[in-house]
Amino acid sequence: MKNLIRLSLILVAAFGLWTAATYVEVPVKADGLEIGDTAPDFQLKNIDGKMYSLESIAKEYEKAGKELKGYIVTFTCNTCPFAVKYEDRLIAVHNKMAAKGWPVVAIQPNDPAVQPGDSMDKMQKRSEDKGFPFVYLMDEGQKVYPQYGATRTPHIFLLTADREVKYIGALDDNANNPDAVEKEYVVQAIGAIEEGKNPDPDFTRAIGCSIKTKK
Amino acid sequence: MRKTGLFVFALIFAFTFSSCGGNSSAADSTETSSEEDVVSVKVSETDAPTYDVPFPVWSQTEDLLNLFEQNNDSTYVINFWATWCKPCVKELPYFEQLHQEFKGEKVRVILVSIDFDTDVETKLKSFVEEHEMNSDVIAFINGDYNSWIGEVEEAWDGAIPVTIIYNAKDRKFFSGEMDSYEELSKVVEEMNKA
Repeated sequence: MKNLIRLSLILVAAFGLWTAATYVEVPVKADGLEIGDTAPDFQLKNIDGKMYSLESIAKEYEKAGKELKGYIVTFTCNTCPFAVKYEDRLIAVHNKMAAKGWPVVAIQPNDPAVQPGDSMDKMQKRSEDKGFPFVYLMDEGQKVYPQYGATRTPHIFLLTADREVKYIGALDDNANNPDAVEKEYVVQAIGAIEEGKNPDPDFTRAIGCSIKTKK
Repeated sequence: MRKTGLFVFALIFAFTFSSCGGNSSAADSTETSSEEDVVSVKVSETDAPTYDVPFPVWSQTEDLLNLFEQNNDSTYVINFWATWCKPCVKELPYFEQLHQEFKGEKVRVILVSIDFDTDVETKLKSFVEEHEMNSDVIAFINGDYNSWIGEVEEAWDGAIPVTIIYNAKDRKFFSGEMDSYEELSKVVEEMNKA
């Protein structure tokens, strides 16, 4: 009887392994940041040729005698229609929030070899054309976006000054029409944090362009 | 041909609604004698598409979710795409080929476009016409993405393309583009015969 139970257990386990092996699911993300995690810092080249890190941005605030409260880390690019739809709003959010201690930190995660429209040259041009008031960094070698778990552009990670992840998702609830926005997720999340509360929602899903990598 | 396909589609919906006693829309489906009636059951009353396009335009989440709750002996291949999404456009021919090669089998290919509502009558319409797409195309224009993406699939955070293949026995979620027709057809074949 014992043997029979053992055998059936082995069979069940073997069947489990077999089904697991034949299940060809591609995970959305292998890992990445979750709410409450501490986000890693980075050293990335800006469109002005200078290297930036979250720490260096904090130091700039310190030098200017201003308090940095957090970062609106935004994975975005030139070539995704969703990212483009959000450019003006990203500029507006930075202009409104950076003075209050919450700058936008834009990172371009696509491989320019796959997506030539996202090369450093094109990033410089786009920034110039639009007059980006924030840094626009190239994720050279595509090392930063996987650590964050970014999957698309645009994809926002709201961090506190000590880099605690407070919100992940979209800027607001209407990509196509700024006039029809009902929930400004990021601005609301910052409001909550400043009141000592946790943002609600702290995670939103949104359509976006997959990040372009070499196969 | 397309019309017939949509009609069958509509019948499936009519069946779903009428077989689901708890559904508030069930009352509407008592008189489904003409095609128009059936179609009106298929989508929520509030959906009332006013687009001049040869495919359905939906905005209600419940209509979309119904696509994933067809409890019959068919295998459903549902792909989310958009005309602006390069990898999506690249893999579309695989789905069209699947639709062709599995004709006569219980396999349904549905291509859900999430193009912006403002692009439906222009970019999307001309894309569908130019590419002579034969699979069922549905435009889903609900821009409050956070309200429905997780309802479709918990593991999906919004990047496209994604594909969900399901039948009464199994369900698989694919994030990212298919590398080849073979990759896609192999999964469908296996699921369809299981």
